[in-house]
Amino acid sequence: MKGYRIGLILIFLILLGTTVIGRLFYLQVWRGSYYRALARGQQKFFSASAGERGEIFFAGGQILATSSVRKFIYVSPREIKEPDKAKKALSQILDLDEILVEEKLSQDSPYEFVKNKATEAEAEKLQRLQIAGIYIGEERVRVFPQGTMASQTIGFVDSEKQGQYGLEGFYQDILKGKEGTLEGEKGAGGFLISFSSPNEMEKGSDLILTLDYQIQFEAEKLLAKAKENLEFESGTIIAVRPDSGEVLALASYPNFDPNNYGQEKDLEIFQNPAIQKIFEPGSVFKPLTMAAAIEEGKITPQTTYVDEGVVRIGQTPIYNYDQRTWGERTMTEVLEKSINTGAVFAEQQLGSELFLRYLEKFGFFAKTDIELQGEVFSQNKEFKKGYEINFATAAFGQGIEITPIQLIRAFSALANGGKLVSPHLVKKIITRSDISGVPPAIDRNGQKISPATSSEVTENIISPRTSSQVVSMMTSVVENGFGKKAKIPGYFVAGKTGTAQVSWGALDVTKPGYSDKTIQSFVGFAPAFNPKFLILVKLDNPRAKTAEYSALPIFHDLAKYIIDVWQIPPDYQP
Amino acid sequence: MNTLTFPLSFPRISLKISAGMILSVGLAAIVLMIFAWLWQNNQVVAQTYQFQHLQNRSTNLKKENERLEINGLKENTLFNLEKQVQSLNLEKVEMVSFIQSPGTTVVTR
Repeated sequence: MKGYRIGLILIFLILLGTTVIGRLFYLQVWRGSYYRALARGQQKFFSASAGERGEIFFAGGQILATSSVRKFIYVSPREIKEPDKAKKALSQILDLDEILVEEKLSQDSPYEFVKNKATEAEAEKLQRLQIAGIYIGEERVRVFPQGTMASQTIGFVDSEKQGQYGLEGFYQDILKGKEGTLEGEKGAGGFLISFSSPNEMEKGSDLILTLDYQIQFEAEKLLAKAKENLEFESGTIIAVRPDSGEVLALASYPNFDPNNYGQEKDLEIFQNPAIQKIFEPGSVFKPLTMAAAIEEGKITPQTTYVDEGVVRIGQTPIYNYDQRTWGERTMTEVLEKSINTGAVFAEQQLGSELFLRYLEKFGFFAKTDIELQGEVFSQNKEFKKGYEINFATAAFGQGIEITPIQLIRAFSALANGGKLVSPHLVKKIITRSDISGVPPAIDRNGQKISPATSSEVTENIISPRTSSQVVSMMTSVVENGFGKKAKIPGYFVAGKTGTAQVSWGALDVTKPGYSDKTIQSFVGFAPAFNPKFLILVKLDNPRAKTAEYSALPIFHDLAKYIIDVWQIPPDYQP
Repeated sequence: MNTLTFPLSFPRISLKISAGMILSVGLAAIVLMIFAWLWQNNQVVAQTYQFQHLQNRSTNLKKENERLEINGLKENTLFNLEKQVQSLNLEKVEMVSFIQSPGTTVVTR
């Protein structure tokens, strides 16, 4: 009987074993692939992830723009069980209005955004309280460690991760990186245990700029200081290497903090005046008129004419500044004393058609194609109509509209022996493949190039001889003329002042003629006969009579600073 | 030699011992397997927790490092450095007047 029971148990065990093995066979072999796939689906998860945005560096490697993680606070009102406790915590820790918090908590929604840019301390305090329904989120955001520095040049990145204005806007496609899939694995209990390296996701390219950190800083500092003394409406400083077109500094005032771009009420502040503001340059234009006339052999620096204080074009009289009469003067003296009638004389010797052709050669009717979003230029349609008066006034920089960057390009040609260069801000674009060993070589348009061709120097628009003659005339302006304040002992400095009246049209007033407002500027370079840098200082409506007392001292201080920092050897013993 | 012939002839002694043993061993194996499974599960959960904890720490340290780097960048900007230098009340070299020596030659007695 006992043996029979044991036999039964044995049969039961065998049957149990067979069932278990059969079931295992069914699960693991027969339906194995199905359950394996099901398990994989539960263990793994995938999510799309944007590539990290590339960084932007000054020429010396200092970081101008990078990315970082930022915390934000949100609530899920449906999950909140203690609304009073949640309201108190949120309003006290995040320093928010209680009514606003209450409004958020009373919503019947699974997600209500509470605060952007929460600090580490705020997030930590909230986390410690462990209140159900309050969450701390994280997102990668653009950070500009230098604050307001070069803000209009760099632009900003909006909440949709789109670059706006400046370099961020221009290089959006190159900076943004490549989207990829992030693969994660969950362990027992659904805990996330690992992330594999994302497929195809790639960080965006880095930009190395031509901007010099120290010069940029000094330029902005000088503008801010001048604002206190001169109370100008806005100001711009551009410094370039005239031989290559590399922009060393591009400073504007007022500026903004790209980390907090949302706080700006006037959107105009985002515009870069160097490329987006058109103005009538005034007397700084005279050396260009002289260069064209000398190149065509119509005048020489020694050519004389007699100034009678006024020149009439049809019925319209053109006077000198302060209505002065200078008598017999050479063309060099015309620049030294900034005589309007002398510039008109040079233009008349040249002829309107040739003058127009030279203005085109100097690039005043086209964009410079600098790598900044939204560059504008004036077609100068009114000027091109062919009226003699327009050409006469354009000879001394009135009635013709240009941007500061166009003026810089034209003067670079005067300074460098006659070559028209392209002003540019990006020295190198470093792609991810560059880091992995492939030589770095793509230009500012994203095209592969060799580094040697990156300066984009084009043909001569005036001869080296003409260039040298105009440089001598401009040096004389600083040595003997109105530009004396630009003198730096030991160095020959070439330059020209300009004080232009602002037309009513430019102020959006439908009225002919000019207002009392002025644009005061100075363009100069040093050392004059082997220039290492060229600077334009432009101030809108400063509290000064002429550029000699406003833009010129700023030029002097910045030029002296660059000479000291770069340790440029002197031209002579002072 | 014990042979298990099934289903009818059970050798009395050997069958008695063999069946009991099989039953005991079978049950022991099942219990052992249950314990092994529980232990293994416990290990996996514990290791997962530890792994997750370490991964969180690593992520937090990376974020902290990034935050400190950015703070360092902000602190070391020329703007901040200049502000700090100003607080040192240093004088520009050209503002300093030096004591003039009476002559260029020195005579010893």
